[in-house]
Amino acid sequence: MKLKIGKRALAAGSAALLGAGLLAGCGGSSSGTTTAAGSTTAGTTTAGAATTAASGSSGEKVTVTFWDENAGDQRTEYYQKLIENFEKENPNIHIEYLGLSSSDALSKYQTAITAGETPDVGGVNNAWFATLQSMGHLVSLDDMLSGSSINSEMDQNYLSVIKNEAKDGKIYMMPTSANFICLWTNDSLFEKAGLQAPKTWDEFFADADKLTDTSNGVYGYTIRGGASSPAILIDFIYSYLGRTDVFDENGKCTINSPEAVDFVTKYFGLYGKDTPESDITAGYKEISANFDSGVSAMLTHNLGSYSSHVTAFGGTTGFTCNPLPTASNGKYINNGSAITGLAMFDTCQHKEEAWKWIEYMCSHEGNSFWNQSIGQLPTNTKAYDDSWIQDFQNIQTAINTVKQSNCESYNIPMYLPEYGTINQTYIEPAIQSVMSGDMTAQEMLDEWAEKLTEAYNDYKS
Amino acid sequence: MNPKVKHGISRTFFYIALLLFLIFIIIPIYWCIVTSFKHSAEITSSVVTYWPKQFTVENYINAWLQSGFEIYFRNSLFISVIGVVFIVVISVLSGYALARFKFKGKNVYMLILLCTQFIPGAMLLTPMFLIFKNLGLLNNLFGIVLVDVTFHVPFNAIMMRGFISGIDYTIEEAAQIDGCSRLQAVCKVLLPILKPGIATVAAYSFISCWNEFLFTFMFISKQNLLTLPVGLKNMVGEYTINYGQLAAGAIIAVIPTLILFSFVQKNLVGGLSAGAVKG
Amino acid sequence: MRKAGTGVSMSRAAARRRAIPYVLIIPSLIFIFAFLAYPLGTIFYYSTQNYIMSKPDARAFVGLQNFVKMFSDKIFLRSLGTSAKWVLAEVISQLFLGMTLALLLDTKFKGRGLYRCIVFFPWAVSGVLTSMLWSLIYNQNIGLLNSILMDLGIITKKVAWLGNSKTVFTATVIAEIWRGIPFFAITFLAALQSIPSDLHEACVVDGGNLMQEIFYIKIPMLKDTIILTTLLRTVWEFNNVDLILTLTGGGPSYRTTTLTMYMTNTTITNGDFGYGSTLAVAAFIILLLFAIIYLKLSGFGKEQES
Repeated sequence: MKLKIGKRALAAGSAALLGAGLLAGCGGSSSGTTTAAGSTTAGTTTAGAATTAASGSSGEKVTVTFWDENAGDQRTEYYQKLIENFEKENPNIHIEYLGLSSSDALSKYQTAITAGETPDVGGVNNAWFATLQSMGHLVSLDDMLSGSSINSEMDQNYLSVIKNEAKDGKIYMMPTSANFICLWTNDSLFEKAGLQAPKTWDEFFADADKLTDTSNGVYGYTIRGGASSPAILIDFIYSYLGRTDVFDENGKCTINSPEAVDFVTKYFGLYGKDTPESDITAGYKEISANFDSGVSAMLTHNLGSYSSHVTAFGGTTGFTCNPLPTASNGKYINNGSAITGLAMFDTCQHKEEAWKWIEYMCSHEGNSFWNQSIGQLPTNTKAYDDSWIQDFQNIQTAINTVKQSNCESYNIPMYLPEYGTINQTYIEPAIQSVMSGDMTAQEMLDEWAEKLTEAYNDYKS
Repeated sequence: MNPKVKHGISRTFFYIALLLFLIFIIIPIYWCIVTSFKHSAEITSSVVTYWPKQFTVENYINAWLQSGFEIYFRNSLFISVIGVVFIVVISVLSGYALARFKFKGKNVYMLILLCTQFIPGAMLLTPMFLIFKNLGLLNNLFGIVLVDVTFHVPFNAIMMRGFISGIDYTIEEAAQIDGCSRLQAVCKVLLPILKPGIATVAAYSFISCWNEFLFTFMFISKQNLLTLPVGLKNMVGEYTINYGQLAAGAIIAVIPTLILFSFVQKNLVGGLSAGAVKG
Repeated sequence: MRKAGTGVSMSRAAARRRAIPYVLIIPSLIFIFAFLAYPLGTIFYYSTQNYIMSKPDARAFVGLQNFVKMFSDKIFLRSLGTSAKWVLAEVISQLFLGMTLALLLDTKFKGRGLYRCIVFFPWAVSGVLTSMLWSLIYNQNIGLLNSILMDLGIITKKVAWLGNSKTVFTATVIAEIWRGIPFFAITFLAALQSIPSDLHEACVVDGGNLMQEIFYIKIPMLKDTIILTTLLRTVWEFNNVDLILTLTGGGPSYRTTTLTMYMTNTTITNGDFGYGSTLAVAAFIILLLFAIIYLKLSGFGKEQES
């Protein structure tokens, strides 16, 4: 009965809504059409990056088109605030924002590049920066940077990561934000077990086991077996090995060294025993849900999941961000390449204005606001001293860890054009085969090493 | 056996079957609605609640207020309404040719229609992008209408062929003997009987246009020209998925389609055509 | 049989009549040739090329090399098998359930209009939500399905529906059936309307029962519709990836990777247009052969043309 009433009410309500929608749709659609058509002519010219209409008709106002590679309702809002501020400071520039959903952003860029319809400035994720860069339509920003006041303020480590990823050693993307791979822990589950966050890998394995209480549906860890599992695994392997060279002096990949095989065997030994069985196909949203629902006591991810934990735990307490365990040789190996930034495309006709926007996002003001909003690491060193840094336990952990003298970044082979393909086409399914016991860790790592070595030698030649 | 008892038994089976279908279909719908009224924390809790512990309409408000949702709604409506008109008219023409005529190349034509469906749209994206760029149809809602028409006419034309050939040609013939021209016979006699078919094709094409994501995402690079599916996808961030808001947004988005269908389904009433034959 | 003019005007009228079908199909052909002919052509062209987006310098004509590579590609063969399994499972179950539902909905009962709207819902709702919804339902720890089954006492331990190689395929198939039933149900329902009710009366007078009426009258009348919908649905399910992609990502270990998923991954994600197009050409040929054979074997349109 209740359902029936609900249905009827819903129907009535929706009918009213549609009536209004139709009216608005009809009244608006005629005007909508004209504006659509009107703005289309203007739009095609701007999107064609010729911006002649903008600069020609009004004389001075220049439009810079800008794509956000990971749109979400909150991020769009933050960008809108930044744009507002920027436009106030630069009244002759208009930033035209377009949000792209993260899962499809790369393909939109690829199509746009092929057709010469790229924006002036685009947000780029380092995970696919090399793919984009190798297509050869990004503008090198070195000269503009060297003439800018932000040159001395930028974190040099992040810049060198970007330089390393281009064959000519130039800067094709200005880092605006950096991430940090961390081990999130559930405080109350650790307290109940009388444990502290693991400092070494041995502790990590022991804790995962101790925290597991299958009768209550609690697991020590949640392992990523689905989308992007190789990205996490390679971080773990080099972090465990305590070494930074993915390729040795002979150009051979080190990922299948005997220690790595031992580690991976042990690591996937956790699956099903100390992790939920569903982890074999779990991507980010599933492992994150495991942690947020209290099913898993530990989760490996980056700073980015902070806000989802805050929502789930109902506040900023109850969970902690920890660095990954330290290797037995005392080194802390960090993935220094988890960067997002802004790139300029060669279709850009107003390089000066476009650079101003990029510069603003890297400036103390813009960079600090942006990273405070999205909860990631600033790339402008001046922002490190800002007070908001103290408010975020996760950011503080990240900065403190990176500052440690034993912290080194390993040379993640993201610069290889085939890196993504190898991981996705071969290694991701192979990891699942290891998890289900159809393949040994040795076999999987051998395959990985062989593919990476081949790609590396290809790249070098 | 007493026919009345027999009838009773078959009625019982009938209702049991209806009920089973209803359960299978309605549980996910129910879950979608319940999720849309929950807070995020409750959705990802390991204690599953069948009814929201804390009932909230926040998700609906946020979804609607999300930048541009109203504009997206209007753009989607524009594209879908125009798209449906085009698709239905062209499909009726093609369907009629296929159902009522024997002509050279008919089988080839049929295969051409089918061939358009063999390659997923994602594979055709880049060359299509170039065509639309050269025609100046990027960043244009009408360009999206053209894409929708291109992809959905073949399917709907084939469906329409099925509906038209299901109707006896003698009806039209009778009208022509009575002095109607062929066109008059089609308009006055065939189209009224074809109403269920037209209604179905209209519903199909509306859904296809309304939910089209890929080409709008690719061909539109202006925030104020985006459509609902693109806006909904933006609720799924890289690290944040707002399930509640997504469910709420999708429910708002499905309302026009459901209202349209509630009118359409009235045309799906048995016995109509029989009456038409006699008359 | 058809009405024709007399005398001299006859040949002109006949010529006009012969031209009618071509005029009718022109609009659809304009769209197809304007927007699809060239893109389809590029697929065939790229399939003979070494064309990887991130290696613009290495682009070259390679003849049939990509096809040679394809026949020794284990992932291709495996994904083709998965596609076949997927399409078969989907089309047969959707056809059966959709037909049953259409026959039920063709009968009068109270609340039929509302029931039809509910049945229609799964199809109308946006694809982004459908996949999210089912991943929430199947989730091992926070999912609805495990919760219901445990409360009913059917299972005692939470099942990893999408993580277990024994259940993952069936689970995805069921989710897709949910979305696919309305298509068949509504189409058949519309087609059933064109069956004259005097046939029903004739059957009743002859003392036929309901089952006889369904199998000897209704289904034969729907034959062409059944052939067409199953064919279109086969193609549609073959190319449909969004649900599997969200639910399983094609895993575990390629168990749920279909040919279309493999093709789009190769092309879009990895930027290998050459080999991706080769896979597309293979899919195209397979579907084309299937369509021709299916239409021939099923005797499509025969009665009507004789």
